[in-house]
Amino acid sequence: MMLNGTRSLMVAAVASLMLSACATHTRYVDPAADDGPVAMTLDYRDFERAADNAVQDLLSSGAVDNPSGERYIMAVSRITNDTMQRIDTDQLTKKIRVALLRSGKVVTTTAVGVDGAEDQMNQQARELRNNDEFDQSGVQQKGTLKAPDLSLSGKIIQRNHKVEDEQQVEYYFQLSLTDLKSGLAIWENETPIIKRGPNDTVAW
Amino acid sequence: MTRMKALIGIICLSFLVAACAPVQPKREYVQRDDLKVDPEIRQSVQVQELLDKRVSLPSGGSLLRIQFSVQAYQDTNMEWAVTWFDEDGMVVPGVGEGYRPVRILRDQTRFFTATAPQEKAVSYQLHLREDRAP
Amino acid sequence: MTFYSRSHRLLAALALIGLLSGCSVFQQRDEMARFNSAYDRGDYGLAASVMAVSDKSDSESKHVLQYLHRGEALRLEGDYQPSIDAFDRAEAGMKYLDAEGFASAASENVMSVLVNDSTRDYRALMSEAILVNTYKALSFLALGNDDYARVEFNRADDRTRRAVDFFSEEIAEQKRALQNDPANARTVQRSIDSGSMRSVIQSNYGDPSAWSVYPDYIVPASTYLYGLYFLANGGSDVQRAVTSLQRVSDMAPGNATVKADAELAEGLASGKLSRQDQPDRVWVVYENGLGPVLEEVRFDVPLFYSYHGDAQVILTGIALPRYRDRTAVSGHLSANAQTTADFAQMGKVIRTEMQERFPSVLTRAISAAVVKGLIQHKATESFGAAGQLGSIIYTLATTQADLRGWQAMPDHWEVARLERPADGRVELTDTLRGDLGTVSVPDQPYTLIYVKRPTAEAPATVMLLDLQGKRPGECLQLSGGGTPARPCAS
Repeated sequence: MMLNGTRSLMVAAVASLMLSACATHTRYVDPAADDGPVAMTLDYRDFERAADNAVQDLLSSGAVDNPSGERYIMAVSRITNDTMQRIDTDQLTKKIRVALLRSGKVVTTTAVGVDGAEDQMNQQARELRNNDEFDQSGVQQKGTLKAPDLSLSGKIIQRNHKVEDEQQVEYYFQLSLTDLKSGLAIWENETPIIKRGPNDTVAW
Repeated sequence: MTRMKALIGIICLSFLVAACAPVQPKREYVQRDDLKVDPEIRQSVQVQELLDKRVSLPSGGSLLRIQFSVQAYQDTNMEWAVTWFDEDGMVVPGVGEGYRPVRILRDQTRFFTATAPQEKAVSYQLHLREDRAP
Repeated sequence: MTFYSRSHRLLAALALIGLLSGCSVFQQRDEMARFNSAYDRGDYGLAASVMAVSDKSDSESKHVLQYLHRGEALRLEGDYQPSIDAFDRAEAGMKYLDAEGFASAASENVMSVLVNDSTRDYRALMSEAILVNTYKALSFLALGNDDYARVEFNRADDRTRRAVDFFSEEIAEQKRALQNDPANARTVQRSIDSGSMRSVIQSNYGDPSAWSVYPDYIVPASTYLYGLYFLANGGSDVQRAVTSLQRVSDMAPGNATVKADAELAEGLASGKLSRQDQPDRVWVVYENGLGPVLEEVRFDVPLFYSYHGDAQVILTGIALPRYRDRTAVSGHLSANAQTTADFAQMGKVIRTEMQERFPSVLTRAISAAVVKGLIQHKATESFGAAGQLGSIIYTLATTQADLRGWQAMPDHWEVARLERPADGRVELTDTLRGDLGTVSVPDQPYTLIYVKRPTAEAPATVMLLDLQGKRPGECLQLSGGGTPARPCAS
């Protein structure tokens, strides 16, 4: 019994030495050919999938297609992070904004946001008005900023369960597009992403 | 004998030169297959249909949308992605370049749809491959 | 190799292990003593520096206890970001220990059976982990970072959910471990199941099933703060406030404030009450006293060996850890004449958890006793009296209960609720020791005044927090006796 104990100790020590010897090396990951392992946490693939799903649905719904042919102006409202991870919700919204801009249907304003303007320069550039040092012909005139027609808001939810010996983590990417004229949500979308893995430890 | 050697030398040299010369890509538009299925999964799944249509939008424009169905002979983990092209055959960028993983059970037929990210997309290529995630 | 030379080496190795483990235990205890003497006086800066981890490249799992103590001391200093960093590291260490591979866990188990439980890396209690997330959430609120505060509250909630699953798993794990070693397992199981063992434990240690525990596993203070946060942040999440405040109210049936909070949440969720009609409110949560610590209970237990076919009973010493309550600051807190009332006790939370863990702690202690008993027997057989003496010394030196724990937790929590006065001035008074000082509450609808006071000698640390996380908080130390309030970091 005793000897077994010491022996297994030595085996464990040798094993841990061997493990530390073959450490992994750093390498680039190509998103188009990433066959790497999946984590229980949210990674770039999840954001990409959710954004792709939302954009396809949004464009094909026709909700952002202005009958007059002009582009709609969209403001990004609050996307609540209701997960257990410190993520930046811009990871989701930026992808959507880029795709919408490319589609030619929607342009996002950086002058209006929940916590003030996303780009402070919108205001600062206007403070040059009546400043003698500046050529006033290039300074933005009053009444040129465009007010938004649409507002994008949403929530990323995480719910965990134990399923037999495993842990199931459910993420829901919920998005709403509000027509600011009427206050009605003219488009809504939910992309669930569900992962199942070990229950040894917490999912963050 | 010496002539023989010289000949061999010349032949070798010409091989070398040929190897160094860059392969010239075809400059004209190549007719692409709409559908590519990797050999690893051809044994287990079959694409049954591949449809496309243009969805009309309120402003008069339209977007290309495709639908395809896949039937599996055995449980299969696979991935798919669609690449969109404009009139000139140039790639139209979407949200990302990642593949969507799907699992199809034996004898199950699943339908998938994809919509082009921009109006200028006129053709596409659908690629089905094995899911190699560990 | 003959049995003799093998045994010689073995004894030498054992002696070394015994010495080493003794050293590390004494080092830990010295560090704890220095932390406690600073912490009890309210000198959190010194307390934090005692627990500084010098080698940051070391794995977090080796220093979970240090990070826990350091994190809380820094928080009470008002150093929120460094406190969050320390708690993040503690959490990373806990995660590593949860997920570590079978090989290292097994080798640790061998060590802990051969020596004692304190040679294992410190595995935090579920209640400790839940509190870590709660404290981090409060710190993020103090920094005005509502997004991350929500993340931490969600983590605390998820840990509460996991706790229930965890307990059932710990028991299953213990059974599996026993099956891997059938010969000893029979001895261990027979010893545990015997009636004489049960009565010996009951008379020396007490009956765990008689402890006063909570019916459900929750840390009421964490669940309550989670409820308050979602009550304040409203929207579709107010339903979460209803559920959690109701749960806490069920656990603390006598507390009028918690009951009123649950009703408020219910009213808002169902639409019977309108948020606009509500007055601005202030909650005073008072984290009072010093939490329970572990003490060692040593006694002899009968073990049933079968040796060469004969059943033998050997009396061997075991050491078990037991929680002992420490002191609370007597009296209550009064805020503009609203007096706080108890709603959650840390000792009760820990005993709820310990009751579930007790079978596995007992099994490990008895497994160690069985193995050491066998060594004693073999040593006597081979070396006579000298061998017996040596092995007894070894057994004595290594039979120790694991007494480590996070000692910056409180004895209990109290709460009071009041309407925000028009001038925002809230006067805090110790009901026994008199006036503490005045804080001015900014014009905001949901304010939390979070007070922590480990002992009457220490000043009250007062954190003024916006439950909606829109405005950064303020941290003050109130000593009373006419001394003006001063900012936390000295």
